[in-house]
Amino acid sequence: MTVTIEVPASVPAQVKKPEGDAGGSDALATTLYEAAGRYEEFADRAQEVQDLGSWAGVAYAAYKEASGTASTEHAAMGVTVRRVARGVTAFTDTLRDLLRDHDDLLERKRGLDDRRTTLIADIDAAVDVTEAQVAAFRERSVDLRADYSELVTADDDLQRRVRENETLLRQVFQAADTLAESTSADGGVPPLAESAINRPGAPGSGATPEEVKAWWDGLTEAEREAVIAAYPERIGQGDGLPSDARDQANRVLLDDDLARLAAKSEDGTISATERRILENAQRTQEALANADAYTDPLDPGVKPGGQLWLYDPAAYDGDGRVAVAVGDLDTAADVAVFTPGISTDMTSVTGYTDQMMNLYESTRYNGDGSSVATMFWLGYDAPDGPTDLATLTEGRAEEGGRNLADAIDGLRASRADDPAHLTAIGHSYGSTTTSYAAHGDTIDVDDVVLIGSPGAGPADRASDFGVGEDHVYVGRDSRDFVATLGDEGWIGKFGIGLGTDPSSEDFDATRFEAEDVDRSWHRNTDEAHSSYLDSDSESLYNIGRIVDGHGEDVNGAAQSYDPWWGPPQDPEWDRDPTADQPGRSDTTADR
Amino acid sequence: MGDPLVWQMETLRRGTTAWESQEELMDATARALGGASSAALPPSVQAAATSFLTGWAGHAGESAEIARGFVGALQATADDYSTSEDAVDRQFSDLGARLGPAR
Repeated sequence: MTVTIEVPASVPAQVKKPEGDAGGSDALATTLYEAAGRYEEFADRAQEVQDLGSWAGVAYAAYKEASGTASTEHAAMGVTVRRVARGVTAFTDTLRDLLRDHDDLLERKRGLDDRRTTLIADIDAAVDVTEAQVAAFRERSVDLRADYSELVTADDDLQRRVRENETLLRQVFQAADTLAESTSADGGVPPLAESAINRPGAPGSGATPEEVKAWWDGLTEAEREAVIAAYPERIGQGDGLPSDARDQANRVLLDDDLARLAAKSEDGTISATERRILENAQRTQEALANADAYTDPLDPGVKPGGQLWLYDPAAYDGDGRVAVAVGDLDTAADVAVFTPGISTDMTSVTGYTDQMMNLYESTRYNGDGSSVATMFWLGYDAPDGPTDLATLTEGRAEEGGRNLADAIDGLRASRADDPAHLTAIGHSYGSTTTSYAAHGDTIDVDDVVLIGSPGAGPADRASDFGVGEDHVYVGRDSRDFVATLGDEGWIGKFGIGLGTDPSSEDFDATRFEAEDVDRSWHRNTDEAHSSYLDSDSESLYNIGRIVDGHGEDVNGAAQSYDPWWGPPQDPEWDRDPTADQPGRSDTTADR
Repeated sequence: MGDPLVWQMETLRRGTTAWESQEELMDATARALGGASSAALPPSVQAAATSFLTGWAGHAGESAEIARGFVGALQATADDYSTSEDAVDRQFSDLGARLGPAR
């Protein structure tokens, strides 16, 4: 008897590789960024040399008018070339993704082809087959056909995205190839992007995060790529947008600053402000590179990746605004948002991103296996230092609290159907900022952690926070001088300062162990105040447990108190601290 | 502050130098854009990219011309001031020679 087993054909016949060379494309973008810088220099220079001493009269008036027009025209041309350069950067980023997807499809096809070859060999080798064997062959064949079919669908999708990416870049070039376009307000903006950004709900239009999310959901994939390339400032700060979209847009802006301002620096035409922006960009680039290279402690083969969630290097007179995450904010089950304190500006981003890696590591290493993302968020104008008068008042914290609340609202809206367990962590003045954001019902977080806190701002008690007192945690190193600046109780500080000490009995939060084995015999503002996220420390261990959603497992510490008969007391002062002790201060995997 | 004319000439020279630098930068930009290749891009994009690069190399060259124009105008202004100053100086010197006890 002859039995027929229909073995599916190997399809698609070919998985076509996306065309283009990402390295060469990056080089082209750099050339364009440099050209954009030159046009900006032209515009700036024409403006600068308008004032030529006491020269006056008709000739000077003519010169001034001509140089003014030249300045305006070249400024517009600079913007257009920047848009095109950003378009090339965005194209290249997408091309890299497509090339990776292509490699994955090739790998899948190789696997299917191997299965197909084995199936044919098994069929050919079979003699005197039973009904069961025939059924098994048929089942393998059906499964293989289904898998090939899925591969064809995936390949179709890949080729569609390739076409869309190329079409978008073509439109970018075509929207800027005449002189009229080059000096117009929307030179280099492809029509696809323009129509998308003008729809209701676009970021930067005053829409709520929920409306922004709905706007994004209504765009096609091609439109999303188009607005990322053409309007990276608006997408990069769009509260409510997926973090991946913000990351893509902000990386376009980062590449722009790095290439354009480096060229200006080389030309000797960079201004003092631009130099600060360039330094901010360079530090951000380092931080991102570190985050991108970081490997998961439980599976060194996995890189959780970095995300540039906020990038605004010119904000606050060059102090900058930035947020870098370790892990995927769009999908992580546990998300932490860390707000720093005084003296923090954008040049601190590298060190703080390292600390976010420590926190990620601690959370995963001692965790329940859930996915994690930890974000350093500098979205407010932190006071410059102890001598900055802003440090003594809560104004910056109050404003920062509003900004933090907006950021949290944006994160929540971006994944409303899949909410993360979200922890807001504030350090030093950032704990006051976090308190402003979290007191009352202003933000939707699950846990609040205050470390090295000089005061909880508007919250007099843990129960004043929207999360409820059981979800407010406090870390205080007994030697941390800054953490003694809050109002500790009986006598208090007569209303001066940044609010109540959250480690105190009166505040009644859950205090966790946060002593440092290298602690000094006296209080200080250095190591004792800046080691809360050090690896293998008690503090980092406990914060990791909270971020993982297991705050009930922290190692508690007795609250400080202020008796009527003497100065404030800290029961942790005499306890022997630990380091690298499992279940207490071990936060790092042996690698 | 020294001689007002010297000071004024100095500011004009400063302006001229700035425009000369810009002229050089735009020339370099024109060369960079003219020499940039679209070969790294997919074939479906290359024509648009090449057209863009050619056009913008031309724009940059025109910008260099504009900067050169400013250089020329400022130099002419400075030269005219200088020439005029010298001529008037001579006229008053001649006039001065005809005045005084020798008259």
